[in-house]
Formats: sequence, C-alpha cells, structure tokens
Amino acid sequence: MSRTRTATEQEIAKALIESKGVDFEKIGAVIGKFGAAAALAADGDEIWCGTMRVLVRVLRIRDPLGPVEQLSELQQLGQSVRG
Amino acid sequence: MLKIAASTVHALAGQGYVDPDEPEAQVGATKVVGETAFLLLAAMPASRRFPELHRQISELASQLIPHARAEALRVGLCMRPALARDYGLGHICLSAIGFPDPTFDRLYRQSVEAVGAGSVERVPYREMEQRWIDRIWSGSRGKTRDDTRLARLSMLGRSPGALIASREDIYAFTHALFYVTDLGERSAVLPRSIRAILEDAEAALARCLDTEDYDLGGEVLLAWPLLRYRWSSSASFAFRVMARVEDQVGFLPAPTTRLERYRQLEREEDRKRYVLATAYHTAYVMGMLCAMMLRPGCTRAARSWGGAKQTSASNHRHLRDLLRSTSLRGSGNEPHWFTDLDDLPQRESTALSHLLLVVALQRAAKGGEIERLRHILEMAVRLRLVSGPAMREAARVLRSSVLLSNSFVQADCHT
Repeated sequence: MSRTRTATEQEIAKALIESKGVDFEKIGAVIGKFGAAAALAADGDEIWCGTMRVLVRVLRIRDPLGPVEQLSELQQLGQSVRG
Repeated sequence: MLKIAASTVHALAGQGYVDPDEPEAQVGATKVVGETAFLLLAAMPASRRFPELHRQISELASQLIPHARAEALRVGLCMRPALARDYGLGHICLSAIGFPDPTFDRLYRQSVEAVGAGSVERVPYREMEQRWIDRIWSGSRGKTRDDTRLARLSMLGRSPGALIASREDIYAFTHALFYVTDLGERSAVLPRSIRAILEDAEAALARCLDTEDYDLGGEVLLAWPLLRYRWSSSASFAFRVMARVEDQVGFLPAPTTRLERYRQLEREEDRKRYVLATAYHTAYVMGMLCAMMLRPGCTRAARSWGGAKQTSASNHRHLRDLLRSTSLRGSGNEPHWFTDLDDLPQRESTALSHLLLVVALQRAAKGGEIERLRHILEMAVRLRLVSGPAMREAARVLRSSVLLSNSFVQADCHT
C-alpha cells in the first residue's frame, strides 16, 4: 500500500543521497548482472518491466507490539486519559 | 472507564488523530465514534442492574450523537453505499440503546438498499460484522444459513495457530466471536466445539500475556463470557494480570503508547490527544470485558482457582526456570505476568503449569529452536500436561523436522 512520504522520510532520503552513503553505481552494476535474465524470467514484473524508480528502500522496522513502557512512568499519563 | 470514553469523544470524535511521523498512533474519527457506540451497546445490558452506569451511558450517548450523525457521515452514506454500515455503526448502536433518529435512519436505509451497497469484497469476519449490524438495526435475532456458513469460513472454523499466530488472525478470531454471539445476546451456532475454540483462545492468551498485548488479550478473554463458559485458571489469571496493570497505571496501557513520542509533544492538548489515540481502544476492551462479566447470564473470572491438574512445587519451579532461560527480553525484564505469578499462592500457581508450557513452546517456536521444543514437549509428557493445540503443533513441528533433516542429508549426498 503506497502512502505519501512524511517530511522526516523525505529528509532522510535527501540526507542519504547527499552523504553519498548509497553507492548508486555499485547498485546499478549489481542489478545490471541480473537485469536481462530477470526480465526474461518475468518474475517481479512490476519492478523489471516498470520504470524501476525504486532503487533503494530504507525500511523503518517497527515493533509496535514490543513491551509496554515502564508502568511507573505511564502513571503520569493517567490524568490525560481520564480527563 | 466511561470517563476515558468521554475524554476520547471530546478529543477525537470530531477529527480523529493525525500524526504523519507516528502512523501507529493515527485513528480516524469514524472509527472512534463507531467503537464508542459499540462499547455503549455492549455495556447497556449490565446497566440494568446499576442505575449509575445507566446514567453515565445515557450522558455519553448524548455527547456522541452529533458525531455519530455528523455531516461527513451523511455525505458518506450518500456517496459510498458500500460502506453504509461502517458510516452508520454509531447511529445503529445509539438507536439500539434508545437514541433513535428517524431522519438519519431514512438516509441509512436508502444507502444500504442502494444498488452499489454490495460492491465491496470482505473477509468472513468483516462480512459477519455487516450481518450483525443488520440484526441490530432490524432487531431480529434470527439465524440464517449464511450466518452458519460465514462462521465456518471465519477463524472460528479453524485454529488461528497456537505456536506462531499472526496478530491479525487472532483479531479475526475474537471479532468473529463477537458477531456470532451478537455480543453475548444469543446462543451461537458454532462451527467447532466450544472446547476447541476455547483451547485456541487459551493459546492466543498465552501469546498476548507474554507480549503484553492487552488490547488483543482483553478481546480474547471475552471468549469466556460471550460463550457463557466457566473461566479457566489461565483466563482468570490473565484477567488478574490486566486488572492489576490497569490499577497500577490508571488505565490499561498498550504498547503503542510511547513515552518518547509523548515527551516530544510540547502542547498539553497534543499530549492528551496522543495518549488517548494510542490508549483508548485498550481501555474500551477492558470496559467491554467488565461489562460482559456484569451481564446477566455471562460468566466471570474466578477469584481463585486450583484443580486437578496441579504439578508439584519442584516441577513448577523447574518450569519457571525454563521460562527464564527462554526469555526473549533478557533477565530482570520479564513481562508483567511474571510478577503476578510470583505473587500467587502455590495452589493457584501450580495450576498454571500448562500455561507456562505453552508460553515456553511459543517462545521456542518464535526463535526457531526445534531442540528446545522437543525438550519442552518431553517435560509436558512427564507432567502429564500434553493437551491443546500448542502441544499438537509442537509435535507436528518435530515430525516435520525429521523430514527436514532427511532432506538436508539427501542434499549433502548429492553434492
């Protein structure tokens, strides 16, 4: 499901490009090795037959179901909830 | 709890909560309105015995009315009849508890009867929800063949997976149960035995307790009052854990409420809206659970338990050591339920050995530790506690692992 990039995500993408932390030439060289064969195999056709605009994805891996925060600290939020 | 609902309506029923940098916190106004009305509907039967509760429900219903019949929802009914029941849920629930609105109702009727009303494909539990809304609206409690067919196709007709279940599948399981029982109002035609369904609920509960997922855990606990079945030791214990955590914090917290994000927000109003957006649903689930337990005919969590399936104190200690050794969070940082387990009298604690084994199996499965699964199953055999879907799944994994290891040997021979 697509969604609009947030300002922070846009900022991270820009900073990554400016830092030259992403070596697009190397990525291109690696993908180039598989490109023709993969295109003929027709797997992942949205990527291979499409415009290939997405070259690098930075995934923010979240664990929203990690443990609950410290209960003693959450107590201070009780007033907000109960009004 | 209804105070929390009143705060939620005040803060979120108008425009919901939007935070582009915290997508998990976001919630739409329609969802808040629908769920608040749903809570009031669920709590109404209990209020027959408690006049103060009835007064609070009526007061909150009055606050909710302008949001449940807001212009945006009326426009939605006109433009998107396929979502009519989603837009109309608040109105339907309010009407059912004595706050009708004939004008809105005519608009709603036109929308659900429109040609395009069926132009959305839904998974079975969502389809069950649509039928349930129709029953609330019409006041009919009749069962149809379609209800039976949908229940069979839903997660009530199959196990959500006792070792590695997805949160979504457990959610589908709990919601299917809401609708098949009409929130406890009718005896359900179930596609499997109550015992099999509650065994799945116990396994899901173990997972929820161990991940501190009280939002889903509370919904799972509703299985016992909705099915009007006597609460098991594990279910009663889980309720005690959640009630203790709720008492300690002042509301039942969810993992989505992050202190870091809370502190980043400068305005008090923004902080309040953030906490409500991330915490209201779990609070509602707890409210609904309590309301169901107070409902005439529904069953309640046991204050104490024990029973035939107790293990010896030394075996129980061994199990606790095993759990500490399989901790996914590091020593000294065990989930809340460990504290409650330590506080239990021995008779109650040792009656929870099966729960401990299931948690240990789930932890081992999550870590892909087949050898540990075998070790835990062996312990279950020694303790004569081999029962339930988690044990069966673990045994199945062990059988598959033999085939797996054979396939590795064959692959080695070919190379």
